[in-house]
Amino acid sequence: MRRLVRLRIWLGERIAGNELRATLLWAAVIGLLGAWTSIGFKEATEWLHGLCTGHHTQNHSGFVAGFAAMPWWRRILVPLGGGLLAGLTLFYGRRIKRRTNTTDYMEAVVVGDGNLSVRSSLVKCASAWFSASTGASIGREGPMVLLSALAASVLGRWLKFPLARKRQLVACGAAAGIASAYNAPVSGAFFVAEIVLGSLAMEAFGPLVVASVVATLATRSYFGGEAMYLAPVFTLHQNRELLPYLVLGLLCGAAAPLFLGFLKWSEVGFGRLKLPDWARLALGGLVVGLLAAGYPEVTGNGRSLVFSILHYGGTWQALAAILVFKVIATGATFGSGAVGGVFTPTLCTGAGLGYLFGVAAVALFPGWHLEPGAFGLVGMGAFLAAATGAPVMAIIMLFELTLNYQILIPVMLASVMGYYMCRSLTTRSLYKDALARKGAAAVAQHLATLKVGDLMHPDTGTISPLASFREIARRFLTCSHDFLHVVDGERFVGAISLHDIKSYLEHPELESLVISQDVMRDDHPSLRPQMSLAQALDFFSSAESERLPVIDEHASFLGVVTKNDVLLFLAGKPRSLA
Amino acid sequence: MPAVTVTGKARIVLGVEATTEEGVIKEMIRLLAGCPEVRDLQGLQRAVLARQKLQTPLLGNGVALPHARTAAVTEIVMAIGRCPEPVAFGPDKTPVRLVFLYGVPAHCISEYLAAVAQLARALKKAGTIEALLAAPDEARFRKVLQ
Repeated sequence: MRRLVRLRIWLGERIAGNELRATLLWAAVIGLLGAWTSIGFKEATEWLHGLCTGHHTQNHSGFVAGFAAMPWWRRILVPLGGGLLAGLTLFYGRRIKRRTNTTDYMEAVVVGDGNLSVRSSLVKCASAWFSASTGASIGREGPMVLLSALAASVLGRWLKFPLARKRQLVACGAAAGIASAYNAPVSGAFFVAEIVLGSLAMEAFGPLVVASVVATLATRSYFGGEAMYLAPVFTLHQNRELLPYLVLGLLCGAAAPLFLGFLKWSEVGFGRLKLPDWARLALGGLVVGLLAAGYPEVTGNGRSLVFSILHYGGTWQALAAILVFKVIATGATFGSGAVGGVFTPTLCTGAGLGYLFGVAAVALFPGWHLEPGAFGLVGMGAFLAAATGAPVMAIIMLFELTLNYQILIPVMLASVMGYYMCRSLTTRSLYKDALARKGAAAVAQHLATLKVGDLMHPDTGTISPLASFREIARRFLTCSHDFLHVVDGERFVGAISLHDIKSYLEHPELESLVISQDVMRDDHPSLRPQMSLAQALDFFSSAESERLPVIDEHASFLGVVTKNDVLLFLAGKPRSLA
Repeated sequence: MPAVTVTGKARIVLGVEATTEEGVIKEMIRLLAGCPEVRDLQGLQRAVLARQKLQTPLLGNGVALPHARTAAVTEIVMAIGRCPEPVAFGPDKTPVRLVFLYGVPAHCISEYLAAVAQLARALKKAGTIEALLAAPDEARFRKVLQ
């Protein structure tokens, strides 16, 4: 323990200094941690999948082959059992949850204090492990991102990082998780910047890039650097071929609200059953199992299904059926409350939709040399852009997933069209839904629960009660504050207002006559570290000063908080340190 | 309250009897007994003596301006004293013959600075201190001040 404390102090001293430099360095560390946690989770799911199905995947290629190799009754039992175990984990896990920290990394970054609950997060990840390993139609990126963000949160708390840096680094953890999950460093950074932070400013974006890049390099050193979806060669022969891609974009934009609506309807439907967690998730697993009995392609996150769509050799009718059942399986898994991501199933839906559209396009324009597989690719991007409300991220992700540059122009066109079409039909999106629900409630919650002490920082504008008038004048001339806090030893005794004395700053006759104590206001408002932000805002609303001292019950001066600190925090913006 | 009004309403004693710094201050405070603006005479005395211990406000040329911001007064009050012989003030035992004692309410920061600044400027004018030391009576003393 002593060694850990010494290491912590040593690290803290070495890293102290420039805030951005420190953040970038820690972002790299978190990139590594994110990669390791993601690798660990992937390996754990592969292992459990092998244990449940008796089939070990080759080169981490997905679970469909394993399900296809099983008899029909086992294809029902495995997801049912997995759902049951996942539900029991959540059911009993809720009982050991103590703290009220969130498990939602988005909430922790945007409206929270950067603290994620360790127990609750691990319970969720354990539940996701059971679901993902047993064929639930849900992505693994959710728990991988959560584990990565959790590692960042724990590190931030252990090293007692300031609030703004902690939130930034949890965001880096999320970016590292996505980058590791998809072997996509740029998408990882853009996903967090565009969806979570809503900012591409370099102060926020730079660390995300560092974390994503380090995570990707570490993941590639373990799994290899191949594109996730090796796509067929695509060539744009003539510009007119862009027209059907444009239409595909609009179609995906129109379909995305239906998809989102179906997921919501499924969630509401399962909720109405009022089942305990274990029964609800078991039911979701049963639905997946029953579908898998006839169509093993519906199992898993959809990665191997996407691959087979892009290189499809079957009939469009069979694919349409698989697509419908896959969407139902996703709805059942998501609606039952299984923990995981919807990213990959969304990509899968887009690929199927795009491919089917491609078949129609080929039939309509036989002389145009169109490829249904290419439409599948473009459909992935367009559908993802529409469903997430993040077209830039979707475009970049498509490129990183396929490493196919030729596809970029149709993907860009279709993604943007899909995004605008979807926005014109609904304001709902995969992630902003969760944030919108929590946003206003979370701000109100944090106004009540977060403390002044969390935002407090040292004061550069203090003065002794015995300071001469000349010294007072000099301090006001050299600092940018309107109030100087008078501190006697460690006790806060009052504040000098520039407004009170500004007319007399140039009077030499006062130099030997007046000291700080003579001109300070001893009724200047002050805050306590345990006050909530709501209480602090009440003080600021009636105070003349934009900067208030923080004192303890013995009037010991602890630091200051500015109105800007509180407002910027509530707006979710990082505070730049002076 | 304008500075002129402060000095205009000041209680004046031209022959201070005390010969020590503390004695002079106490004698000045007694001058203010009965002033409607003084809520607590002893409180005012304690505040001025405590303030004096922190720093001795000396203008130079034998003038001292002891004062305190205190809740013991409701408006700025002043007592002015002229010592027949110099009295030692402060840690450096600076000889003082003219004492301008202020009592200032806690909230009157700007007014206090205005009064002190104006008085200090007036006293710095050539011949003022000599005129005050030579004034034969209170009426003449007040006239020099104004």
